[in-house]
Amino acid sequence: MQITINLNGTEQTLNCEPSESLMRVLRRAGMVSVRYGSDSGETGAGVVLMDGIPVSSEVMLAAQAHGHSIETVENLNSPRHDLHPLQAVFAATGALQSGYSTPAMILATKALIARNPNPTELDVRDALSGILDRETGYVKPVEAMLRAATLARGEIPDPYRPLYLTPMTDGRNAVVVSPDDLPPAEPKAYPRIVPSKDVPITNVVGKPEIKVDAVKLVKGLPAFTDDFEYEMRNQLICKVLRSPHAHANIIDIDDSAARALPGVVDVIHYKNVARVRYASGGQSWPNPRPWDQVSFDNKVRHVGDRVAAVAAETEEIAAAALRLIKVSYEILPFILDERVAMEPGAPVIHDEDDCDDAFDRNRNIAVHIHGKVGDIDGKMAEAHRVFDQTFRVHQVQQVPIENHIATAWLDSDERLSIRTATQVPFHVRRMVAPLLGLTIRDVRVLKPRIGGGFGAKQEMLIEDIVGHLAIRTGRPVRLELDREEEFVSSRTRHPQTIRFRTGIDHTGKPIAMDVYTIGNTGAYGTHGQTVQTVSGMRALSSYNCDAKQFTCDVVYTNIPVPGAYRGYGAPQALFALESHMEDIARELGEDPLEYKRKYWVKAGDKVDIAPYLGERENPPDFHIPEDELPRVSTTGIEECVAQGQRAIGWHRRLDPTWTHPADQPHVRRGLGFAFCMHGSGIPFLDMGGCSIKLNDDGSFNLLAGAADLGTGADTVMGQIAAEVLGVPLHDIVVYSADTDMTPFDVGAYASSTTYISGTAVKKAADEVRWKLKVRAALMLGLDQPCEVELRDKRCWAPDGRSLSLEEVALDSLHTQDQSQIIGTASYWSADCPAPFAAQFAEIELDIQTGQVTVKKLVMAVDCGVAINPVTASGQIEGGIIQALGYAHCEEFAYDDAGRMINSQLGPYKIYRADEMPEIDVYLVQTMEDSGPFGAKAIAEIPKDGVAPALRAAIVNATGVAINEIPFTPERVYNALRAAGVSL
Amino acid sequence: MQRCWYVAGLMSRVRTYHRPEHLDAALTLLARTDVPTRALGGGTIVNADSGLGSNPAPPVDVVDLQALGLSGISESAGEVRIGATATLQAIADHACAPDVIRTLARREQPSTMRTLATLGGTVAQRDWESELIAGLLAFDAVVHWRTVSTDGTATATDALPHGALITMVSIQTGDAVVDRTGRTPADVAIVSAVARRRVDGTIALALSGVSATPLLVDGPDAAAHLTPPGDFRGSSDYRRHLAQVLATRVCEKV
Repeated sequence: MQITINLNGTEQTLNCEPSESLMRVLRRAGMVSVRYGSDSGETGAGVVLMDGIPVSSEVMLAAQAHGHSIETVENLNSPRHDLHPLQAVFAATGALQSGYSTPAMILATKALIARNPNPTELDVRDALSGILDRETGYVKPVEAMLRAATLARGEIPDPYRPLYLTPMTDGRNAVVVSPDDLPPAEPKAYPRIVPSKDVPITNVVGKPEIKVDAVKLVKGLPAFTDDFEYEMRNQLICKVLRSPHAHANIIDIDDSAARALPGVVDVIHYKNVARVRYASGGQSWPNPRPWDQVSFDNKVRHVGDRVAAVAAETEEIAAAALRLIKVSYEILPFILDERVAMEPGAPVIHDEDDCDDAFDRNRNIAVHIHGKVGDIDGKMAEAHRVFDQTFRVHQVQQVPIENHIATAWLDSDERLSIRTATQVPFHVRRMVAPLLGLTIRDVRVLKPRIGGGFGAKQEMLIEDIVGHLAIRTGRPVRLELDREEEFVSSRTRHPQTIRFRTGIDHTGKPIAMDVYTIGNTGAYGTHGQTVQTVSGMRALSSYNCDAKQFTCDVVYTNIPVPGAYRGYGAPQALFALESHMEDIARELGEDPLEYKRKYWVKAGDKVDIAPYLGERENPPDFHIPEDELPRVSTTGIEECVAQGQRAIGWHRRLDPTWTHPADQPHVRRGLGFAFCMHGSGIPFLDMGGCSIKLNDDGSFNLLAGAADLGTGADTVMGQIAAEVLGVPLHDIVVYSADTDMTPFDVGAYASSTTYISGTAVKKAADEVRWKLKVRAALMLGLDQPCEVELRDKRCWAPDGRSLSLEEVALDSLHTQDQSQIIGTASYWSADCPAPFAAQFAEIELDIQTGQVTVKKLVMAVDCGVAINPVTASGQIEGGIIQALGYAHCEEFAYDDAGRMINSQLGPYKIYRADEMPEIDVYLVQTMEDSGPFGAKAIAEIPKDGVAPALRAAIVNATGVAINEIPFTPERVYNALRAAGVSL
Repeated sequence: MQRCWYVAGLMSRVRTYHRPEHLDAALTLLARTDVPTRALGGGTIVNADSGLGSNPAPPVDVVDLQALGLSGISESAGEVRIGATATLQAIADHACAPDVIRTLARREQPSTMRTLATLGGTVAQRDWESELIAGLLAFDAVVHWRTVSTDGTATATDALPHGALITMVSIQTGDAVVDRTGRTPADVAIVSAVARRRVDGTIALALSGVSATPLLVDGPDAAAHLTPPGDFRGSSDYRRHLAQVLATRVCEKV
C-alpha cells in the first residue's frame, strides 16, 4: 500500500506493507534518527512528532500516519556543524551518553515547549516519561529541557558549568557534619567537584568539553549499526528460531518447508554448521574455560536458546520461515535455582562429550574457584564471635535501549566485514574467525556508536550467525534482536547465593572473613569464572582482616545466560558484604558507618586477596610476598562521606519525629549508607593501544582500539591527547574500534578505558609531542628539543619565537627530510587503583503494604581526576539508575515451564523520568599518580552501593533486615510481618 | 493473570488496513465473521508485538477509527462525555474531566504512548490492573456502544457483543480518592483503590488488580472475601491484603 505524509515539511508518498510500523518506513525513507527499541513502543527511541505531538512510531502502523504531518529530528538539522538551539542545549549540558534516544528527547522537548512555554520540572519529567534511558539517570536531559524552555522564552539561563566546592575534610580524616551545614543549591545537573590541591592545573583535562560525537548524536545522523543498513544493497534479513523449552534434546530438524518458501535464501542449524567449541564471553585469549558452546547445537538449554537461523529477502518472509521449521524435541527436566543445581539427581545440563573443561559436568559445576590469604581456620577458631549470614541476589538484564544488532558482508577482497554493536571488537574478531573457518586476517569488525551495552555487548553473541550466513549466501546479512530476544537470549546478571562468615575479636575487629558463593551461570559458562572471581575479590577487599577465604561453585542451570553486567560481580558481593557489616555493627551496638570506618581500607593498606583471585588461574604454590602485595594508593573516602552526609541530611536518621511522621502513621522513613570500593581495569591483563598522527593543518587523528559504548570514552581520550599536545579538543579527530584501522584494545569493560586506554593515549601523545619538539627545534635552530614548549597550537622557543603546528606539519610532511609525525603506544598495568565512593539513600516505607519509595540517592565518588566532569557525573547518574532497578524493582520472573514471563519493559520495569528519586552526585578529586592526569575509573562503582544502602535505610526505618533483593512490596511486607512490624 | 503486553505475537500481521470515515462503515467491517477484524484506536495494544516467532497471531484486518470523529470531550449536567477515540493525553489535559480521572489517564501510559492510546481501546481491553478503569467504575461510567444493527450501554468492564464498537464513555463529575501500591511510583499498580462519594452519600469503591477485571466492591470489608489472581508482582493473599488496606484508606478519606 501507499501512504502520503508530510514528512519534515515535504509531501511524500511512501510504499509500505499494511503491518509495517511507521518507524520502519521512516527509516527506509532515510530518517535514521528514528530508532528501534522494542515492538511495543515503551522505549520511546522511535518517537516522532505527528501533527506536533510526540508518539512512539515503533508501535504505530505506518498506515495510521497517512494524511498526517510527521516531523523527525532531521527537520531541525542545519548544514555541517551548526546546531538547532534544542540540539545545542542537549550537547552543551551533556544530556547524552550513547545518544541513541537523544533525537527522541529533542523532539519531546520541542513538543513540550510548544504546548507549555514555561514547564516545571514535573512537566518535563512527564514529557520524558515515554523515553526510557539507561545512561543518564535523566538528570542532564531534564536540565537540558528546562534550559531549552528558558531559551525559547528569550531568557538567558545561568551558564552550565561545574561547581567547585570547598573540601569539608583535610582529605584524610573524618569530620562531624553539622545539621546546619547545607549542600549547594544549584541544579543537581551541574557537576559538583571537590578539588584536591594535589591536582595540577590543566587546560583541557578536567574541563566540561562537549562530547566529540555530540553533533552527529543530537542531529540523529547515521551513527549506530542499523543506521548504515540502507547502504547495503541486496541485504538479507536474518531471524533466529529459539527454543520454547528450558531443556531439551533436538531429535531432528526438518527445514524443507522453510527452504521452499519463496524468498528464503538459507537456513542454518546443527545439521549444516560445523561444530566448533567456544566460550562466548568477550575476554582476552585464551578465553576462560569451560568452552561449552557451539554455533548451533542438538540440545537446547534455556528458553530462548538458539535452534536455527533463517536468511530471507524480507523480515516477514524470515519470520514466516521460522514457523515452517519442524523441530522434534525430547523435553528434559530443568532447573532454574542455583541452590539445587548440584544436588544428586539434578538434570545434567552439559552431558555432551565435547564440553571442554567444565569442572564437574555431572554435578553441573562449570567452575570451582578458591582463593585465600592467612590462616582462615585458625583465625575463625580464635574469634570472639562469628557472624554467619546468607544473602540471595537475583537475575536482571542490562537493557540497553539499542538491542543487539550486527550486519555482515563480504567486501570486494572477499574478506568478511561485520559491523556490530559490540564492546569488544577485537575479541569478536578473534573469537568468530575459527567458528567460520576463517583466519583473523580474513575478518574485519567495525564498531560504530553503541546504544548502550553495560556488559551485555561484551560478548560474541550474534556475530557468528550473520557471519555464517553472509559467507554461505555471499550477500549482506542483518540480524537485530527484538526486546524479548534481548531478555531471553542476550546476557544478564548472575544470580548468587552468598554465605558470609565473619569472625571478630573481642574489640569487634574482623579477623576472619570466609565467603562461600554459588554463582548461577545459566546454560553456558561464558563469564562464569571471571564474574564470580570478581565477586570474591570485591567481597574481601574493602575491609582489613587477618584471614580471608573465597570459595565458589559456578553452576549450570536452565536460565537465560548470565554474563558481564556493569559491576561484574561487585554489586552482588557488595550487597552481601555491606549488609553483613551493617548487621555486625548493629549486633555490637555500634553505628554502622562508624564501625565500617574503623576497618575499611585506607591509603597504604594492602589489597591482599587480589593476587589470589585474578582472572588467570594461579599455580598451586602461588604466593606473593608481603611487600609485593598491591596496596591502596589513594582514597578520598572521608571527603566522600562528609559530602554525602551533608547532602542526605544524615543527622535525620536518629530523629524519631522524622523517621516516624506523626501525620502518617503507616509511614516510616530511613537513611542508609554503603561503602564502595572498585577497581580500574584488570591488572596484568587489560591492554589498550593508540596511534596519533599529525595532519597538514596541525590537527591530529587519534586512532584507538578502545570501544566507546556511550560513556564518552572517545571524548576522554581526545582530551588527554589534546592536553599533552597543547591543542584544543577540536583539533583531535577521534576514530575508534575498527579492527582493520586501529590498534588493539581489549575493549570496553572492567572500568578500564580511562585508566588503561587513556594511558595508552597519553603515551602515544607523549611520543608525538617529542617528535614535534624535535622537528620544531630543527626549524627554530635550537640545540635541544626539550627547550621547545607546546601550547596554544604552537611550538615555542625559550626566546619567544614560535611556530604553528601547521607550519611544523607542512615542514615535516612536504618540505625537508620528510616524515610522518606519528606516535603509537600501548599500555597495560600491574596496578589497579581503587576508586572509592560513599553511597547514601533515603527511603519512605509504607509498613502496611511494604511499598518502598526511594526519595533520594547521593553518591560521592573518588575517581581520581575526572577527565571530563560532565561525562563522569553522567556515568554515575546513569549507573545509579541501573543500580536502583537492581535493588528495587527489576527481576526475571519465570513460569512453571522455565519461560520468562516479564520479557517486556512494562512488566520488567525500569525506572522512568517521572518517578526517579532525587539524585545528587559529587566528584571528589584525588591525584592517582599511576593514572592519566590523575584519573582512576568511574564506570562501574555507581552500581555497587545502592542495594546495601537501601537495605540499611529500611533497617533504619523499621529495624527489619532483608537479605534478598529486590525490595519489592510483597517481599518487604512479608519481612515486616514476620518481624511483627505494624501500625 | 497477565497484562495484555505479556502475550507474544498479539497482532504482528495486518492483512488489510481500513480507515472508514463513517461509523456505519466501520461497524460493517467489524461485523464481519469471515474476516478476523479488530478495531484500531491508537495502536498501543493492537500493534504491540513481541515474540520468538513461536506463537504468531493470525493475520487480521484492522479498522482505524481515527476518522470517525469520536474524540470529543464535553461536560453537561454533571456528566462528562468522553469520545471513544479521545486519547489518554487529551483526557489528562482536559479541564472538564474530573481531576482523579485526569490523573489516572496520565498514569495509565507514559507520555509517548498516551498520545496514541484511546479511552475506547483502554476500556475494550478490560485490563485487570488498569487503574483508569477502576477510576471509571468509581465514577459510575456508562459505556455507550454500537453494532451494525443495535446499540446499548454497559459498565466499564462488561464484555461487549461481537462487532460492537465503543462510541463514548460518560462519567459523573466530582472528586475521588485514590491509593495504590506498586514497585515504583509510576509502576502499574499491583492493587489500586478508588473511592468516590456519590450525590446520595453512598461510596463507590473500585479496585484494580484483584480480579479478572477491575471491579466495584461494597466496601472495605468486601475486599477480605476476594480471591485475586496472583502473579510475580503480588500473590493472591498479598493482593487481598492490599485491597483491604487501600480500600479502608480511601473510604476513610473520601
